Amino acid sequence: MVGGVRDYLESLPEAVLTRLFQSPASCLAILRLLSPLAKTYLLDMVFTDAPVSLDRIDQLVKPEHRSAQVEAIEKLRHLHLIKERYASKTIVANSTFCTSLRCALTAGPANEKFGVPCDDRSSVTMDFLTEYSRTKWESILHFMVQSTIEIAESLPPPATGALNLLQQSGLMAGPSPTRLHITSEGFQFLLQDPNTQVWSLLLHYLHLASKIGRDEVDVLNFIFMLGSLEVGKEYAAQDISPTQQQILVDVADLGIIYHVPESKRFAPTPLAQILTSENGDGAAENTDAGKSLKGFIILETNFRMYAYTDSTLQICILNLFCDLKSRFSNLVVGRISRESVRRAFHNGITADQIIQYLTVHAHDQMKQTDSGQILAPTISDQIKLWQLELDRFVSNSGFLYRDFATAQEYNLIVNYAQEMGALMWKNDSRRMFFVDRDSNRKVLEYVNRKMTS
Amino acid sequence: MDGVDDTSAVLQAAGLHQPPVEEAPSLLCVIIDTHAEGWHKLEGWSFKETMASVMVLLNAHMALSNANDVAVLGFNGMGPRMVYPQKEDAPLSDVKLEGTMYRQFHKMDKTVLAALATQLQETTVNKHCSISAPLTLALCYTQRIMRQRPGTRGRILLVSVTGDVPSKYISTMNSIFAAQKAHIPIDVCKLGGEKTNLQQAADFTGGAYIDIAHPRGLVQYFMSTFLIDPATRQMLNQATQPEVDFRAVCFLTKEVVEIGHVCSVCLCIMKDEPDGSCPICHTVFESTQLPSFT
Repeated sequence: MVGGVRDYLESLPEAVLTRLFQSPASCLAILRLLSPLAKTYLLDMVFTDAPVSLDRIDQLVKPEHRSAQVEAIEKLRHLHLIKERYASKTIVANSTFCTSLRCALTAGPANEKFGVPCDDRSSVTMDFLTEYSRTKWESILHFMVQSTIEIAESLPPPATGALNLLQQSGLMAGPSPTRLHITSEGFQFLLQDPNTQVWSLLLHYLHLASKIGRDEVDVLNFIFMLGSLEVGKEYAAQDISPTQQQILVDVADLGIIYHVPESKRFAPTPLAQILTSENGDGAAENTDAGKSLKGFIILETNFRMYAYTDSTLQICILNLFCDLKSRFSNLVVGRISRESVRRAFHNGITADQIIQYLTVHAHDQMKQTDSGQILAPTISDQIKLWQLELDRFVSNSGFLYRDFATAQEYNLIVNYAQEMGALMWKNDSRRMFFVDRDSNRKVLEYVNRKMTS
Repeated sequence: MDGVDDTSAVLQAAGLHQPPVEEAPSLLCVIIDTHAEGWHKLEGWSFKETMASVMVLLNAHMALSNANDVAVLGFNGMGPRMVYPQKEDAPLSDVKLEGTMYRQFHKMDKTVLAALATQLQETTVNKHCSISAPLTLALCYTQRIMRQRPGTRGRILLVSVTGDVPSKYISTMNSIFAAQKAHIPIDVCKLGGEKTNLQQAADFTGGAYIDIAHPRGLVQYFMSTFLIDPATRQMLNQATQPEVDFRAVCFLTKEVVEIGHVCSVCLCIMKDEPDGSCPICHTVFESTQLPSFT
């Protein structure tokens, strides 16, 4: 999902990015999004202002890794982090970015007033924040699965802001924010890891924000800054713009920060830490989503699945692609079958997402294999093959030609159709053939021409 | 077996087989030589400025990924000590921090600098500490972290200003071999002192060795060489050591020898011909055989 943020950043014009680079926190966050090789190149250039010659760039990497090098340089260029000077055959790093990153790395003074920790004893505790973000985030996920099946214990619905976001992002659809049903994107969303989920919601939020005329840089800076704050501390939100004030409220709806209305303070929750980490593990250990990352699924090669969980959310998610047979106080037993997986495919979930989910949530015992593969290859391959089954039929709309009087007539027209590449199928013995819809007009014209002549 | 291969071929064709690309979390363990005498002897280097560069390296390593971690050790005549991370509730951790954004960096930097500066001031009982002691401590710590968080890759950077103690040759070599066995590269940043063992340490463990003569551009050395994690280094053309001094040290006289005698049983190295038996393992050599080798 890190890719999603990267793609979004790449789509921004240089001027916007340069403004973004003025914030050291954003620079740090962007640095983390890069590939190792790109990081290497960039950090190599950060402390030298002199341009680096392209020859040196080439020499640095072994010839067999040339493709990785090209990719890294390409990425850096798309993000406007480096600029090529064709005349002197050198590249220079973006000076704004370098200055900000240097400031960050030397632990220099922050140039923002925002995000100043409150001095006095804070009233929030780590446990409270964890619990808070868990309820907020889970209520969103719960709300999404609730539309598919009946759950006995129902949580209060998420805040209107979050509901709006769900609707606008296309994860859920419906006539009004209170009567929503999940879409195929929504199903895919549920199976992703918390990091991906948080980011994809925030990206949708960014799109929305820019649509209603908010400054993207403001929003991005804010998000990146949140990720660099220390969890468990309260921060003062003084001197912030109305835009930032609004973002504060919106982000609090998602459970990323704890913000008391009317107060000028906020505290980032463990979810905020996910924002600048590549993979969710470690960051969100205490959230329920994080707890599940510890792994609870045991999947046998006979497709029987044992999930040690009592979270209704996880059970609902498993129910998306698994036939659940029985439930105990801390265990659900089920079976992955062709039907259950196909049901998931029809909901728009892909084989890769199922496998990813099973791998990420695999029980520790599953990880103790010699081969290093967490899922047995029989299972992962079978799930993929089930998906391929669905691709067995390719439908094309077009026209069927039949009832030709003579073989000569048939051959004449079928050859013409074949030459122009419009022929999809033919059966010489029954004198039938099928023509692609788009090219049919030309074949028809040809037929008319031949018939009349 | 054909069936299995077929499956993967089919899946490959459908583009469903993708090896996951991810960065493993990495632990950087930095060992700082805090022999006051060593730093005093260095011309043109100031401890403070050098440490500023080291701090940038630490911060940059932390900046690369959230999962990355650092550890810092200092060693002088008083022996090696863990500087960061410190045991919880250390008095330094509540240093007053003024509105700085990168609290994690700031906190780490302050703790490390203060602790190292104290070490530098210490009057030492023993004149010298061998690098084997901090190396062993660093290896133990790295091993512990690697076990606690599977998948973590560890490496060690040694910033050295003094030469090694010849009498500790054996233990130093042992810790180097231990690092080699555990696949923990030892990078060596040599600012002063003689180099024999350290060059070997880097060479055996696949680390980088750089002898830096001038303090200018130290940060750049750190950024372009020591910051890069070993997995990425394999993709790069690294500066190779022109010639590694592989000479060993005599077990008895602790002198560096070019040609010496080796016990055929315990492999101990001797400068002078032993008289009758091995001084280490007491194997009796046949007196008739000995002269023929000399």
